[in-house]
Amino acid sequence: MSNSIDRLVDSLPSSGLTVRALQLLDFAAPGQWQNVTGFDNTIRLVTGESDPELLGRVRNRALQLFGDSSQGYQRAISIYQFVDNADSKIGLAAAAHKLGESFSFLSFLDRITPKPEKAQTVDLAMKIVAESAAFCYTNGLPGDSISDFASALASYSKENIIRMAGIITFDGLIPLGDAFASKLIDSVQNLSASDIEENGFFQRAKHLLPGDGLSLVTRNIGAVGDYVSGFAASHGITRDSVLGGLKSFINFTDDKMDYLGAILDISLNYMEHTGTQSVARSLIERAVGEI
Amino acid sequence: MKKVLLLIILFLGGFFLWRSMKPADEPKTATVEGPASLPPGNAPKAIPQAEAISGSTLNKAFPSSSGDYHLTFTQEKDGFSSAELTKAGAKVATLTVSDTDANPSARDKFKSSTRKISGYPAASVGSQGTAVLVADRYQVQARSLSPTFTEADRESWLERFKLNALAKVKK
Repeated sequence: MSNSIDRLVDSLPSSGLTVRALQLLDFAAPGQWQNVTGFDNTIRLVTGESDPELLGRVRNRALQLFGDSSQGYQRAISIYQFVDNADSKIGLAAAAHKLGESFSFLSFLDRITPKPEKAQTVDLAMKIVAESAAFCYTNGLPGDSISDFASALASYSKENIIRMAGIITFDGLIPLGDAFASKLIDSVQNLSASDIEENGFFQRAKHLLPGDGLSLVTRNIGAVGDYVSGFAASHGITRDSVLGGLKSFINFTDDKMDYLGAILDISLNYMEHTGTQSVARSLIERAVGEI
Repeated sequence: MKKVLLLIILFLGGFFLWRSMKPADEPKTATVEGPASLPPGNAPKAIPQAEAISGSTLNKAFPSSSGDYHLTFTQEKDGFSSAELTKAGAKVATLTVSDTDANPSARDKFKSSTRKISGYPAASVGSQGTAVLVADRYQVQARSLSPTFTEADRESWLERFKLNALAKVKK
């Protein structure tokens, strides 16, 4: 872990493509996510306090807890970073970010290759695997019973729920279409171990993940398919509704749709952005309970 | 409900696999001690977080959902457990229990306190929190997330914890 949580939260951008794309999803979870940046600012908002001495103690305790690698927060951050920084991004990501708030990706087309559907479904599966692992590293397994744990998940809110909406939209609906959930389930049933091994995120993060790749994916996705498709329906997310919004800041034409998933893949880091915010929130909620 | 159950299976499967696959030789980084948190003189020494009372043990002290209020556990770690309280779907408070053996300076605020809740020393934690110290070890805190959840509400919910049972918890 090269950076502490305060530096990570301090360096979150307040604008840019990732922020605009997440704001676009507000309709799916109205008012749940604000782009809170800056660690001290986050402490004030989460605790509702303004006394500098108290805020300083919360900050110190949060940094202590984050610095203890056995507490899981560092691993959660690593997973969120790895899942947004797979091999496909290297090279193009920096160039895309320099373009700022809006851009046309037509100039990139010669350097982008849309992924085959199978690789795209593995990417989606890995986002879901990453989210479940990072949730457990951040929050443990809250409660004593299955119903307690179900309640914790059902209460996904703020950064967590907007990230889930991002997975469904940017890694499901856009690259795979409205039938993304059934494609995911069908595809996963026919995957081989090598399909998983070839995934950039898996290669980088497998030391952080629980179990071998293929069984991890098949077990996770076999269980979550209904939830994923239900999430889109229950939150009113459709491909068309999102594409309209994206067109307001990314210039693309319908005949280049195949490229849109690829360009979003390299230009957004919504998992890392909101994941950092989620870990910071959990840390601060704990720190103020422990000081 | 089916979806929720499926999701549980996903997360439980992942969690237990993760637990079983957790590298045994992972080096444990020492807790960072900033100058501001160094214990003075003969103050009690913090134990490593991993040696604190487990969160699942601390869970048992929490009150149940009641009336319009619904309690949901949100985080469980060594020496710490938290839950949020909602009323009509809106979050109104956070309830936590922590083992102060992992952070003994948390006890300092109770030393000068004359307030008691259910017979245990009580103190404020900023303007939004109220806490009690149980058996000179466990800090139980209620924090308001909404102006509708007043200090009296915090005290009332602290009284609902199983404080006497918590006082008997030892590792």
